[in-house]
Amino acid sequence: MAQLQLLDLPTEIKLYLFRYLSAKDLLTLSTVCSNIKEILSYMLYRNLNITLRINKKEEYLGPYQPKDTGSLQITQDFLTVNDITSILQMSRFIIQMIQHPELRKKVHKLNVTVILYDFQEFEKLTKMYKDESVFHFDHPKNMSLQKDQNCRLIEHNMPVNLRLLYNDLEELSYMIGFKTFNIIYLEGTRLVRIKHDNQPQPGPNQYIHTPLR
Amino acid sequence: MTEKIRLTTSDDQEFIVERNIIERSVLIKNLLNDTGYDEDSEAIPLPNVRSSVFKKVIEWAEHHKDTTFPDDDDEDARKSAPIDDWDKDFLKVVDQEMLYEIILAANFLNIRPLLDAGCKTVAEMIRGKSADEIRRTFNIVNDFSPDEEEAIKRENEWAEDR
Repeated sequence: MAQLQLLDLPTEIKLYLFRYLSAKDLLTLSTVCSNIKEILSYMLYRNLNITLRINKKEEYLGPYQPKDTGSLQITQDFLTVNDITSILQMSRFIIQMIQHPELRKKVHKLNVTVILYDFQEFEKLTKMYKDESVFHFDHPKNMSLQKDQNCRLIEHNMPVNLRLLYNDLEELSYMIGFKTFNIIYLEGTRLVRIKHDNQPQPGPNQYIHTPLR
Repeated sequence: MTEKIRLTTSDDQEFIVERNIIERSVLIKNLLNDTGYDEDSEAIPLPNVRSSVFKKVIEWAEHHKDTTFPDDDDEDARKSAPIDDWDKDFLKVVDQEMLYEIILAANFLNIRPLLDAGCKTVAEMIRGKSADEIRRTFNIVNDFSPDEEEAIKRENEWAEDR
């Protein structure tokens, strides 16, 4: 009988153990062989796909498993900006979505997948963008957060066009008057959140984003 | 007297293990509770676990019979906890195949702390290595064509610091 090897482990076990690796290691790992690359792509793709709630009617971008969203769990696990960035950068999906070079630069700075606002701000945001039909936010329904009850998740029907999100995020946070906002994404069934600080500087452009490294 | 539980591995080896030790396995614990196991009951079959692997699992469970682990539901605590020193030594001496079999057995038997320790050990073997080093460590063949490799490089290019 052939020796059991890492690649022979079931996908769910591989995914489970990959969770213990940093984004940088995952990025390296994705270049090792097609099997691992596929698994990692699946993992990241699926997570982002769920996070962004791609509307199947708009554009088919891959498998969508609504059942997975039923087990969302909020954690207080703050990842570093580098971790988030690397994870985003690993995703072919994101790369496909963000074709414009200028947007790539912005994404490189912003590292945003989904934004978490407090409820009041959410209402403002919803109203603002409902009017302009830019984002298609629905009400958050029962998506109350376990550990942060005054927040609501803007996750339902996230914009199909991610570019708009990235494009408008800086301006949006400025318009709403946010000094900070939260960035969250899904890691498996865990919702991970980081806090993003806008660092004001004199002059019309109020936003400086900390370089990634 | 401590209750003893009989179990049979995939290679038909019978094991008699103290209940408090084998109950480190949530699968077995639930099974015992649900079925009302007694000394006249048949041995519990473990069709997915070889005897050599099960011995290691029992060794681990015996060592940890009094250990308090983070709750299975406490994902953060489990993820951030370093590998226990004893576990590190325990898993360091086994070859890769046995390590994977222990991971599979821990998964099957639902022994989360052992599964975590095994997975963290493999993750440690990956951490900080280059793609070539990972291939060598795990005997993985690079099956990308030159074109694919080039495409991957391009795909990852914009993740590089500039």
